[in-house]
Amino acid sequence: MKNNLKYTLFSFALLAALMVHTSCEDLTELNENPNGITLENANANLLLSTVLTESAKTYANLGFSVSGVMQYTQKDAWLTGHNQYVWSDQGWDGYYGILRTNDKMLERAEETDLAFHQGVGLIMKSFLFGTITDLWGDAPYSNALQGDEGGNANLLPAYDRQEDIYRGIITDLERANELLSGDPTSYIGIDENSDVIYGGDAAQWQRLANSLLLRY
Amino acid sequence: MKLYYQPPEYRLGRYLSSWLSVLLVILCLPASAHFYPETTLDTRISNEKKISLKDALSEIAERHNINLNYNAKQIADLSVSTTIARKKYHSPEAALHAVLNAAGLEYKKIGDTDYVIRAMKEPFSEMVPSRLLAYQGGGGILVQITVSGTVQDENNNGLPGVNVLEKNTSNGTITDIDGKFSLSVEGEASTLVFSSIGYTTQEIPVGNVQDFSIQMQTDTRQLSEVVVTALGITREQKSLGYSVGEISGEEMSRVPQENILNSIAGKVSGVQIQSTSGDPGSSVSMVIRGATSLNGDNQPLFVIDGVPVNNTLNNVTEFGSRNEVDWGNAISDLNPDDIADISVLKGPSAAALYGSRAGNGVVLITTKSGKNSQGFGVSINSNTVMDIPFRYLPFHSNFAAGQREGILDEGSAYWAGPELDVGNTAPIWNSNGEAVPLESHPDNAKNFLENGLTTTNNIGITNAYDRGSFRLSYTNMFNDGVIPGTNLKRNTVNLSSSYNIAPTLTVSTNINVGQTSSDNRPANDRGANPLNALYSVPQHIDIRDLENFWVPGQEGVQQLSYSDGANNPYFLAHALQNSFFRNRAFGNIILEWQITPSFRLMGRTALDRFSEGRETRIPYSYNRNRRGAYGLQNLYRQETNTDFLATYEKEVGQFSLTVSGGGNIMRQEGSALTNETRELAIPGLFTIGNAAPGSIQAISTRFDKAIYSIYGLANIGFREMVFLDLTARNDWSSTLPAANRSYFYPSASLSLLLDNMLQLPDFVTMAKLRAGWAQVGNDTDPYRLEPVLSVLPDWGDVKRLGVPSTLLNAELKPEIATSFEIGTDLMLFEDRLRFDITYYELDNENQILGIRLPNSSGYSAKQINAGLVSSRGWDISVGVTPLNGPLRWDMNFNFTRNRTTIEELSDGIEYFQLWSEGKARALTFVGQQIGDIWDRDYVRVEDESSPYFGWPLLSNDGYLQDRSGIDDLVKIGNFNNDFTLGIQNAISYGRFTLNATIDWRQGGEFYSRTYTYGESDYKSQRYLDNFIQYDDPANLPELLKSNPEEYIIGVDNRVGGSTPERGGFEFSEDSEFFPGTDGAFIPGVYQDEEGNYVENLGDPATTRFIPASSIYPWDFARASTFDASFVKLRDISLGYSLPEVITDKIGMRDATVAIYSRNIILWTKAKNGIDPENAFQPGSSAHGQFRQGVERWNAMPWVIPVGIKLSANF
Repeated sequence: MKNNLKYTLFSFALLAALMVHTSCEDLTELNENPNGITLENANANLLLSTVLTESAKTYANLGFSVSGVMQYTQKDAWLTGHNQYVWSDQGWDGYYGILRTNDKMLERAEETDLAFHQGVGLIMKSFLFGTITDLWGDAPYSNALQGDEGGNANLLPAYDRQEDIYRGIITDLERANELLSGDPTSYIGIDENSDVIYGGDAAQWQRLANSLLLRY
Repeated sequence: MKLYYQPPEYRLGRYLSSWLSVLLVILCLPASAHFYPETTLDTRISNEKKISLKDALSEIAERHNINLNYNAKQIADLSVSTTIARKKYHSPEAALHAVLNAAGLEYKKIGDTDYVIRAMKEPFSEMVPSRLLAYQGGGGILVQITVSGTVQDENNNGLPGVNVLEKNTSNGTITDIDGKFSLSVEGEASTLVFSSIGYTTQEIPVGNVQDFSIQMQTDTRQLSEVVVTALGITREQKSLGYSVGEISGEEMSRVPQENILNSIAGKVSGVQIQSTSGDPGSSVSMVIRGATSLNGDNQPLFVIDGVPVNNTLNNVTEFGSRNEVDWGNAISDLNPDDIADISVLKGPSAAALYGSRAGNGVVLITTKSGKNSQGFGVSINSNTVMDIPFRYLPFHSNFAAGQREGILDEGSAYWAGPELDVGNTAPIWNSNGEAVPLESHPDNAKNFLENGLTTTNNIGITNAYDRGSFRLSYTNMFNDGVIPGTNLKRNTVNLSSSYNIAPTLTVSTNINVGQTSSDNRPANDRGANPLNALYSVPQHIDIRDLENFWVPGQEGVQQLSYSDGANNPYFLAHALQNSFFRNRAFGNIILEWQITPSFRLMGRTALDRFSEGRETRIPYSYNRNRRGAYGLQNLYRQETNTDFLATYEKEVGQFSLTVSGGGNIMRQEGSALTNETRELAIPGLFTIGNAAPGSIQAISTRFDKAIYSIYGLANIGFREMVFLDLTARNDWSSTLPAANRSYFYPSASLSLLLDNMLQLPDFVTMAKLRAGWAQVGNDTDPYRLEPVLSVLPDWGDVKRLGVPSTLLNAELKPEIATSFEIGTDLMLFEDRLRFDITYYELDNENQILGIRLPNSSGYSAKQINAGLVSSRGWDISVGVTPLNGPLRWDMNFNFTRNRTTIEELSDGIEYFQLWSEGKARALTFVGQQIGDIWDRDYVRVEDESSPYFGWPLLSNDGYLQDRSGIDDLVKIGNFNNDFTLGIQNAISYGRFTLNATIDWRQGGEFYSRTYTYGESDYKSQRYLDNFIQYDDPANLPELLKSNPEEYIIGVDNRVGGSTPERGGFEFSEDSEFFPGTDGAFIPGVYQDEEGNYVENLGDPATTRFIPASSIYPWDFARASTFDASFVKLRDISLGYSLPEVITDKIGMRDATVAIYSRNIILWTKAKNGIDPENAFQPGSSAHGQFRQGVERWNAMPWVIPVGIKLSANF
């Protein structure tokens, strides 16, 4: 009887040990995502490269639809199909998607005092919003890109008048011009490789800012 | 008191040996038998206090949870010493031996927990008559006659312990060890009643027969009265306050299916099984009582022998372009021959003890064990089934490829070119520029597709011995698919074993190790799907000319094709390969300790682990990856569960009480590594290293998750009349924020046995009312609280980070499902009519949903905790036994109806979209039903005063115009069935058994993209047939206007044809389609420049003609939406068990031969050659979510399977 009890207890002790072994993990720690990094740890350069490459792609893709718009009507690959102003699928979702990443890049650049990245971020913001309003006219601007702050005004942002968007763009470009007018050696944290457009050359970006200022 | 004999020298050995036994699971070694303690018994009868033997026996029965069968009269005046009776024996056998020995009786074990008590030396039956005669001295003259006979089981073995009773008296006896009995009865008019647990009761009039030979029939219903419930607890069905669906292992393996879920179809009410393709390796969906979670795939939790095993519905990935492959769901790793029993815990009431994992119901699977084997046994099952295709897509074979009348264009997707078989000639792809006669090839599909063949062989050995039992089985399954080049293989080893370390301590284990694999799985949808390529081969081409699928001299580089850009179906089937293997092991180790007769403890640890490798090889010249592609993916997943359960049972007066408490630690982890290139440097070399520079896409992810739980349950019974169950569970999930992590779920259910409470009419055998209320929850996937930035594919040598577009919610709460169910179980006319009826309501709150946001907010979706989704439905099972003689016929009807409604969503959100496909959207507005399918509306004449009010307002060139705004949508159906009815038949006569399950699903709609493409390309016969017929073009406007509802209003009206003989109109010279006589038009009106309506009804002067091949209403889903009703013969099997004369000669215990078939489509309402069940298709994105109600080139031929099964037991 005694021995009987002994290995019964032994068995359960083993099982208990197994349970304890598996149970000492912290559930909060367990739910930390190992497949990415948090924004606080993000390097602005890695976001900059995303913004620049995706903008270039999207802008290049405009070729198809813009030519469609300009011709008014276009022959499809299908015999009887006409492309009559049918560019509704070319919405602005992609632009706002890039602007989201750009917005976070700006945030990180401000936090880490990267003047160059702030300047480039403002130029890209202007360029993308400029394209949006060029193509669609009135569009969400002042309340846009703030969905993470919650509230219906941010989740369902109202449209701004095209005029106000251009005004905002001009302010941003002027600020970018300022940020990028410094001594080239004064900029820190630039990864030339990430700047797929000008290889980290602030003067070139400043020139772009001014060119865009002329456009808007 | 020395209870155990224990040689000291074996003490160490005892530990080691026991634990080795546990760990190595070599539990059948008799070497350890000498550690078994022997009981010494004190059989002296002293002058101590005595109790009646009857009481002593009931105490033993209660303490050891066994059933004792005895003749009450036989033991009426016997008693036994309390010392003997109340001693704590460690086995029922020891206790019975002690109390019976003293009284000159003995016991015989006749079942797991069933015992018969009888006289020790002299056969009990011989002493009965004299005793009985002594009792019957009442009044009348007794003409006692003595009858005797033998009772046998179905295998003609003598059946001991059968109660033999003279009807309407208490006169009776039981059969001895050889099944013999002898009984003195009151004359020839009396009737004998034979009854035994597990067998159907029989009544036989005595007449002038004196020597009876009775064969008892197994009563399957009675055997299934004990059901496995949550946590593997076995309960009597009558005590349950909720409905549990039961399927026996025999039902599962009689007609084996490659995926066991297909064997459940039609057999349990409240369950919807949906096979996503006719291919046996594809995923199968199982949804219980409706899909109420808008978050996830609604698949139940599968628990095999206490091991929760992973199963998901979405197993579709895509390597290369348009090469979507369904790799099959992981539950198909389970082998049907190893299943002893399946319990479907349908609602929260049944599943509440599984807490947050029970949101979609639980399927408990018990595998076979050696427990009930009589000594060493070997069983062999061998199945071979051939799938013979007999029905193909009904596409026409009237025209060659080409878009316009008479013009052959082999590069065109249209089949509207020159007419075939009428003497037309033209140079074709392989005629070297020579004009050849254009002939049809209606047998292309038949020639391309093959007979499928599946063989399943299983061998099992079992043994039960004094210290335990085991069962070891091996199964091999091989399937050669109907699509050439495809197959599916499975090898599994299953071991189930238990070992009594000591009389009160048992260790048991179930281990399943196996591999499921395929050399090639067919792709779905368009692109790499061989079926899509098959039905694209124009009718003037003989498909057999494509069989050698490489261009000679360019093997491995260039496929042979009839047109550049068209895939050769043989090339897709053989050269483009999607192979996989999944190595899987799951199992557990269980310790059970019966501490006292009323208190026991169970501890268990369980593991489910698999690794899966998937590989795709796309050769050069595939039309969407001209330079080939290669994909390699490794998946790993593991789940461990460690749990314990303490149970205390007690009878207090007229109450019985069982209280249990336990806890569980669940831990999941997994990883995935994917490498893909869509451009190979060297053709024919399939390695990642051979990826063109910069073309490798590599992704790796991993996850961890844990849930800790404690739970308790109490069952209270009162006098076999009232049973109350209470359960409670608290979970802590790692996927939820700390504040909401802990959540509590209670449940209560009540069962009232009316037949024990009230005086019911005689025809009522059993009447039960039951009701249950419960709450369960659903947590979520890991990492859905805080966003992280992930690394995007490289841009050249530049690294990039992406900001996720979905806003997460750091305050997520678990979903909470509250359910109420009420039902009744009725058994009437000696169980020949049986009802199991349940009505349920389920409200699922706090759904974790992704709702869409305008991208201008910066985000495309937001996770919210909102909404209320409600299910209401009926599960009804009706059983009938129309014949109950030598010819026995049982029928079961399983009826299911469920409706799920979205009652609430978040503020400002009006609808929830499940999918959008082509022009159709499955979206549900608040207050409406899940499954609604919406289509675009067409522009019509809105002016009520116009004679054309409601007519289509066509564009100026004669096409329908669509309106796609959310307010313009038109509901065109719902993808859920109105109801489903499964009809099971079991007929037995002598050695023959016939079983058949019919699965009828009524109502619902599906959107066939095969038809969208097939009709817009002028391929389907239906499309040709559906042009409006007319005699004289001059009368057309009149004809059409005579019935606008029929001819004009709608999206599917058209007049004309692709040749003048078929009604084609001639194009006028100013038409852009001139010249041609293949004109057609859509009836309606269009507006001229002044805005006046102009009739488009066939008047050559005003009608806008369009080529017949181009008139398809592409913008409207309802043109290819069909009724989803169908009837399938799920399985049918005719079995014959061989006579002993034969089996004895070859040394078998028994042997059965059966022929069978399965999954035969008997009827579909749509009559379009598509299996409506397969309208359950992965999405076109790489992470394809399955979308119910959508079918895209899921066009497997209909098959008639012919199978044979041999089973033998040695």
